[in-house]
Formats: sequence, C-alpha cells, structure tokens
Amino acid sequence: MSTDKDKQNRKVLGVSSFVAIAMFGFGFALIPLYDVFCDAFGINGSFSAIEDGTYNAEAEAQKAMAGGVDRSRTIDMQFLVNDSIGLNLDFKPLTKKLTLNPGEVKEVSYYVKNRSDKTITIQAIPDITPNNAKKYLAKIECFCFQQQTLKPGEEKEMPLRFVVNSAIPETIPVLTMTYRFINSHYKAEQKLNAETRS
Amino acid sequence: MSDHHHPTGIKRWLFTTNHKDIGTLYLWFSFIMLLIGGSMAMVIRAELFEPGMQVVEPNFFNMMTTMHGLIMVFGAIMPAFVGFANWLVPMMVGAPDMALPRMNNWSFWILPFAGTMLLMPMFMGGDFLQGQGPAFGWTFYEPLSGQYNKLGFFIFAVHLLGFSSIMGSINIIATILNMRAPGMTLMKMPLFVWTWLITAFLLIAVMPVLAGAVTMMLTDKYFGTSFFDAAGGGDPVLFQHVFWFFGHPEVYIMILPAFGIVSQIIPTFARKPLFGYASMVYATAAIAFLSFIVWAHHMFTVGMPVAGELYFMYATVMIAVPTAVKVFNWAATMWKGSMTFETPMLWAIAFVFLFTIGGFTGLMLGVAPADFQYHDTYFVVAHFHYVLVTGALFALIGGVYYWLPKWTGNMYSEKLGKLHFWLSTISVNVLFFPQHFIGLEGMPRRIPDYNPMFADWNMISSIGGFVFGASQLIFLYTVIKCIRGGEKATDQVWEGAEGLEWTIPSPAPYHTFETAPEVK
Repeated sequence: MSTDKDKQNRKVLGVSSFVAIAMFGFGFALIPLYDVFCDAFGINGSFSAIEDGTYNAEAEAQKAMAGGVDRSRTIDMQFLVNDSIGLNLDFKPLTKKLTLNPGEVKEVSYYVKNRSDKTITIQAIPDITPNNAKKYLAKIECFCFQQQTLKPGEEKEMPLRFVVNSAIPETIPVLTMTYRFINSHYKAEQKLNAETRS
Repeated sequence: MSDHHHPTGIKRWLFTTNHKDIGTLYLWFSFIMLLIGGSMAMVIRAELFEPGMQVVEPNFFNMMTTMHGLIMVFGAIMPAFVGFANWLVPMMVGAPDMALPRMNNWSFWILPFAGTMLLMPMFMGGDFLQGQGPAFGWTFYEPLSGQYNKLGFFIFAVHLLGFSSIMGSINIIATILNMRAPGMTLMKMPLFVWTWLITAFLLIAVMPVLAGAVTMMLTDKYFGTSFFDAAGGGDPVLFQHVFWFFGHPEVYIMILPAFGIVSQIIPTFARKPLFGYASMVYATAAIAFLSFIVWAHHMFTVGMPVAGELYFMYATVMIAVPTAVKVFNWAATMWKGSMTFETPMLWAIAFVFLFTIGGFTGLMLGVAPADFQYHDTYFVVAHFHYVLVTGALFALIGGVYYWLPKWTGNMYSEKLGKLHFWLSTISVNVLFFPQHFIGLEGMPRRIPDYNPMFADWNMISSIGGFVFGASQLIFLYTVIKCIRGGEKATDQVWEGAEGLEWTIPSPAPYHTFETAPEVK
C-alpha cells in the first residue's frame, strides 16, 4: 500500500478519535448545560437557586400575593410524604388536606422523629403534582430550605408556610405536595463504610 | 490458498487481519448472541404464557428482560451489521482490505470479552434462579440501576463494547473515504456503503456519550460523586436525558445499515436500478441528523414543560418524511420490475411491509398527548420489536441469504430458506401484533404477572414466540448446510445483481482487488 494512503488513513484515525474523545467530554458537559437550560426556562422550579442560597422566599411570596386573594374559587391542597430509603424515620403531615383561596397565606406542619440510635442530618426533597402547578406555588417558609439534624429519638414539628398565586389556571383544582427525606450524610457514610470494610 | 501462508487453526482466527475472516467472526459472534438473547426471550414468553407466577422468580424475570435487551442490541444486531460491513464494504468499493486491519482485529476480539463480562454477573454468587445479573431494564435508569451491587461488570462491559464500536466505525470511515477504487465516486457507491458511512459517524458521535453516562454511574456508585444521586444534589432525570441522547441515534444505528441491505436486495430481484438513489442518500443523512434532536420523546411522561413536549413531538414526527422517501423509493423500485421471489427478496419485501408498520406505531408514540396512554406498555414493546425484529433482523437474515453464495461459493437450499421465511414471518406477527392490543388496553411492560383480562392475547403471543424462536434453528441448519456444500454458485450469483462484489469469483477468494478495479 502506498504511504500516501497510510497517511490519509492515519489522518482519519486522528480526526475520528478526536471527535470520539470530544463527544465523551460532551456527555459530561450535558450536566451543566442541563442546569443552565432548566434555569433559563424555569424548569424544575427554583431548586438550584435554593442550593446556591440565592432563592429569596420573601420576594417570591410578594410576587405570588401581588394578584390579591381570589375569593371566587377554592383549591384543595393535599399533603403527603414518601418513604425514605435507608432512614429510620417517623415522618408524616399533621394536616392531610385543606381548602384555600388562591392568594391566601396558609401554614401547615409536618412531624418527624428520628427512630434510629444515631444523630442524622437529613434534607427534604419536595415534589408538587400536577407538574405545571409548580410555578404558582411560593413557599415562604419550608423545612426543605435547610438540612435538619436530629439526635437519636428526637422529634420535631416543622412548619411549611406557602401561598398559591391567584394566577393559577382554573384547570388545576387540586394540588398535591409530597416530601421525602434523604440522608444528606449518605455519601460520606458510604465512603466511611467502604473504608472500614477494607 | 497455498501461495499465501497464513496461520491455520485457532491462530488464523486470533491473529487474522483479513476483512473476510473478521467479518465471519463478527457474524458468528452475533448469531451466538442472537441465540442467547433469544433463549432469554423464550423464558419471558414462557412466564407470560399465563397470568400468575409459574416459571421463574420475579427478579429472574426482570433479569431476563434486561439481559435480552442488552444482548440483542449490543451483542446481536450491532455486531452483525459490523460483520456485514467488514465482508462487503471493501468488496463493494474495490479495496483490498479494510484501511486499518490490525485495529480491525482488535475491535472484534474485544467483543467476546465484553459479552462475557456482561453475562458473568448472572452466574456469580447466590442462587442463579434468584437472578444475580442486572435486572433494571436495558435502559438502566437511575436511581434503580445505582442500587445494583455488581454494577461494575455492567459498566465495564459497556465501556468495552463502546471501544469496539468506535474502532470499527473509524475503520469503516477510513476505508470508505480513502480506499475506494479509481472512478468509484461517493455518489456511485452502493447504498449499503453509504448507510454504513453515516452509521459510523453516528456511532463515533454517540457511543462516547454512553461511555460518559456509565462513567458517571460508576463514580456515583463507587467514588462518591452525585451526578444522578438525589442524596448529593444530583438529578436522576438528567440520566434519562444523557442516556437518550445516545439512545435515539442508537436506534438509527441499528436500522440504517438495514436500509442499505434492503436497497441492495430489492433492485437485484426487481431487475431495475434503485429508484431515487440520490434521494436515498440524502434521506439517510436527514434521518441521521434528526436523530440527534428528538431524544426526549422517550421521556414525555417525566414532567416536561408543554413547550418541550411540543418541540420534541414535532421534531419526531418530522422523521417520518425522510423515512417515507425511502419506503416510497423501494416501492417504486419494485413497480413494473421483472420481479422474482427468491428467499432474500421475500425477506426484503417483508422488511418494507413490516418495518413500515413499526414506523407508523412510532409516529403514534411520537405524538405527545397520545404517548401518555402508550408509555411503558406493551404497545411500545410491539413498536420496537416491529422495527428491530422485522426491521433490522429481517434485513440481516435477508442479507445473509443474499450474500451467502458469494461467501461460501454454494447456493443455500431455496426450499429451506422459504420454509424459514414463511414460518418466521407468520409467527413473528402472531408474536408481536397482539402486543399492540394488550398495550392499548394498558398492560405494562417489564412486569412478570398481569391482569387475567390480558390472558388470551398473551397466550397467542407466546405461541408465536416459541414458533419464531424454533424457526431460527432452521436458519442455523440452512447456513451450515450451505457452508458444507450445495449447488455451486456462479460469480454473479443472481441474474440481476450489479456491483463490484459480483464480479469476483464465488466463493470470494481470500484476497480480492489487490489491484484496484476500474469503475466507469
């Protein structure tokens, strides 16, 4: 085979390998791109703002209350919890459901008890159904804004104060809020376990 | 041939850099994988024969659905197409061999190890019948897959499979771009070569993204990162985005070469040149481009804003346009042709007909509001089996019958080939068509038990499945019989066959086109 062809082949090999490596990098670049995209289009709520500490609950609530209280209709709210994998918790809403007028500030409480014999630090992850109601719900105070540390056997009542924007479409008569706790020391613990095992 | 001394026995196959040997290795590997993956499908159909749990443990059933999907996608369909490319691309463009023969050897020999690593966890630790292998579905969604305790095997198997595919693709691109005979311009290349060139680009673009996704799973599981782990601020839905950014081009990787094979077979037996050659090339490129911008139609139900659903719906439905160009071109090629119905042509016609059914159900699934009804039901299972079994697999089988005389020098038994065809085509419809009905009625996929209201159609589907599975043994027998002897094939083999591979003797000599042919 002519060396000319060898050269061409090596060039294709080089360029293609570069593309493959670049696409491997692109796979990782999808992670920040995804966050940028979600923030830009308001998908996934304001989680990243909460994480960064730039979430301003007061301002969000002011925005939600700007339209005033709509006395002409009501919305049913339901409060649920999901089981937390790997955590020995007693976790439940103290109010299971209530009816409110859009634009009105309401407060409910959740109850949590650490049933394990260890001090745990946990983080609540919220979810709202239906999905398109997310942007109409502003939380003024929520136990999901920060981590909770519980000593063995410690119990707590945690407030959730919120307002539903009166701009919420009439096609959403029922709102369901669900919380689930995850162990925020999970990662650290996993590492520790791996170390003690080896 | 005695004048070329190459090693014999096992060493010939281990050290070979000959594109025909490597093509043969790929084809046998993928056939073995087809039988393994097929046996798993038989277990699935046996369990679903009747409602209730009869045959296997639930986790073993989950392992079967998972491994069946992984083995068929990465072990059977993809390597089979690479095998075809190895055998045919150099012969079709008038090259003496692949451009990078040693890398070619490597890209094959990675595969058996990757396959072994993928299958291994099934037999490790604990009771085999409890299902020790991956059991999280072939799409390995987080967070479920992250809980699996032998995840490392799966991840490294995927890495190896990715390396193999990428190296194979680079080789194919280099061969097509640099090794064509004088006069073989790009727009004179057989359509099979064109479809593979585009497929190879897709593979290089998306296999690394899959490698990235599994690498993130690996570091999440073993090194404390939190790409997908909600406990550390990660997002499991993000996994689906990354996965389907690979996954959607992947489904075209599995069908474009099939389009190529069918575009070779139909003109031969219609005795007319392919209708709309240039539009076929552009349609293939258009499908490949669109495949990158539609991935989220696999995840309409995760909770996307309406704007996103609309965008992905319109983009998805747009794919029907270039695909329809292809289907109409095949039909137009057959129109007023002097058609004969040898076995390869039967498979190709069945492909056009049945693949189109799968394409239409794909359109239905692409319509976002309707997808909420179909999502994760047997309707989806029916859809992708119509495009992958009666699409990709039928084209592969048709291709084997079409080129087998060139590969072996002997004609296969037309009688057995037709028996295989009719048994397969009838049974595959008995197998998958009823799954549309039970899917629309709401039977979820990947679940070992079901509501008794689905019992009748499931039993019929299972019977079709057993017949379809068994009829592939006829295929194995026919191929082996043909290798061992039979009526001698002429050089051209088929009266209407055109292209460089039909100008060389049958069987194709170990070395072909050492001096490049002149293409007018």
